[in-house]
Amino acid sequence: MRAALAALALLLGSCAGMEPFDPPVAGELNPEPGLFSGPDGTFVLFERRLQPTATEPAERRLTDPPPP
Amino acid sequence: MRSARQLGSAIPLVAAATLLGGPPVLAQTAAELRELIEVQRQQIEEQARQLQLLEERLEDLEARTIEVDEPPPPTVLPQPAVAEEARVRSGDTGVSLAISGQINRMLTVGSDGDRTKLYHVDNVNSSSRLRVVGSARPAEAVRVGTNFEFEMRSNASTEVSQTNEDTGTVSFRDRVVEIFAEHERFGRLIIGQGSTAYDGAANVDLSGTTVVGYAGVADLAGGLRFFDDATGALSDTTIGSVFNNFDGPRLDRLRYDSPRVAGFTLSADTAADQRWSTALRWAGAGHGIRAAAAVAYADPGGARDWVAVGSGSLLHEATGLSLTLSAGARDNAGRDNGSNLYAKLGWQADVFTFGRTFTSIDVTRNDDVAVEGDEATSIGLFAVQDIRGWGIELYGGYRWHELDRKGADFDDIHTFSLGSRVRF
Repeated sequence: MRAALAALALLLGSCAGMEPFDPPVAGELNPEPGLFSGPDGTFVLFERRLQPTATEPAERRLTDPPPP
Repeated sequence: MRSARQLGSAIPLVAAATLLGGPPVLAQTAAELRELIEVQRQQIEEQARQLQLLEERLEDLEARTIEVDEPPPPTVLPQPAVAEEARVRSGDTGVSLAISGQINRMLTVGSDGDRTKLYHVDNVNSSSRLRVVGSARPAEAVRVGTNFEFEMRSNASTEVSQTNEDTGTVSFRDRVVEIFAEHERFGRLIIGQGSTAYDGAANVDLSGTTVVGYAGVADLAGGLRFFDDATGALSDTTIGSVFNNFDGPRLDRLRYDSPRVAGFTLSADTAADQRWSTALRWAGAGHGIRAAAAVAYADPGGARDWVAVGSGSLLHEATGLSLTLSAGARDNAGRDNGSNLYAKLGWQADVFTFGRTFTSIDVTRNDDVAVEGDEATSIGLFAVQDIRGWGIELYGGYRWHELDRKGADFDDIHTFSLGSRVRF
């Protein structure tokens, strides 16, 4: 039990210094460049901004689906 | 007289300083007041200059916004740069509709110990598909939307076999048909057909070669049948029936994903036919490595009581070396539990100037999956070449499949695959 708790503490300690990221999901359409769609990998058919409040690039785009 | 003039000129300066917000201090000299006024004049000029710059930037951004009443000409694709500038940013409110997709075709030479054949397949490791995502952000922290994703697997690599090399005309199959709503603080709720919580929990892999080789060994040539020397004929036992990583399916479900906390995300779903699953995922980068892992537990329904899977992958960024592990077990309803063990060693580097090269070697062991006592082993060797910025991957690989079963004498199956995935 102590060993398990120590291993868990070590694991959590190791995780603490890491920056979260979205790993690629095997088999899925991950956000990567497309042949015709360019760097975004998506064709935006329609887009309308209602109330812009920020100009910084987004970590996740509005056009991204929820990850599987 | 000179003092009187100095006093006379100081009065309006004191009045001006008062108007500009500074309290008059009788002890200040006229020179000090002039200096104060000069500083404040410079501040006002700087603010005016910044205001002018902001107005120019606002006019520029407004000029680039896509108007609803003015769609781009139907015969001209929007330029990526324009689309990028017009993108609704995080923090904005807005709506959008976007499509994406890919085609993934592969040639596979399969040798079952009796005959060798060439198969033309759609690679089910990552099938050809089309996605339409509608999304709206009614408030900064809230996003709602829909996700349609369909696949068209003409001659799916899991379906073609020695006796059915052409599976005929196919139709679109639904992969994802769902509605989602998410809040930055409260997480995401999804309803409809899509990934269960444990979908992908057995497939965490940072090697970059999953398009041709990953823990789902059966996806590459799952329809091929083992040749039984004991009977001198093809058996009914396929690669897909004896290799299984027990990863979660896509089902009609209600799913919840928690917000990410220190890289951790907790997910749970309840699905049709009284099935449910839960999963914990983590991903982090730092200290020169990238790492990701997942564990999951599920009630898969039917006669089986449980499925447990877990996987993890570690990439050392400086050397490009990666290690991926996956394990799983499943209740087999009255007989020994099925099990899966998978390990992959990968290496990636910029060998060529036009894109990154990924290579890997993996080994898999499945026990008691289709029949009690079955021992299925596979080893694969793979390479993927990315064409940077074009959405094109070229890949190839070899996989060896062995099955030991009491009362049978199966020949090994060797497959050589060559293909390309193009995202459009």
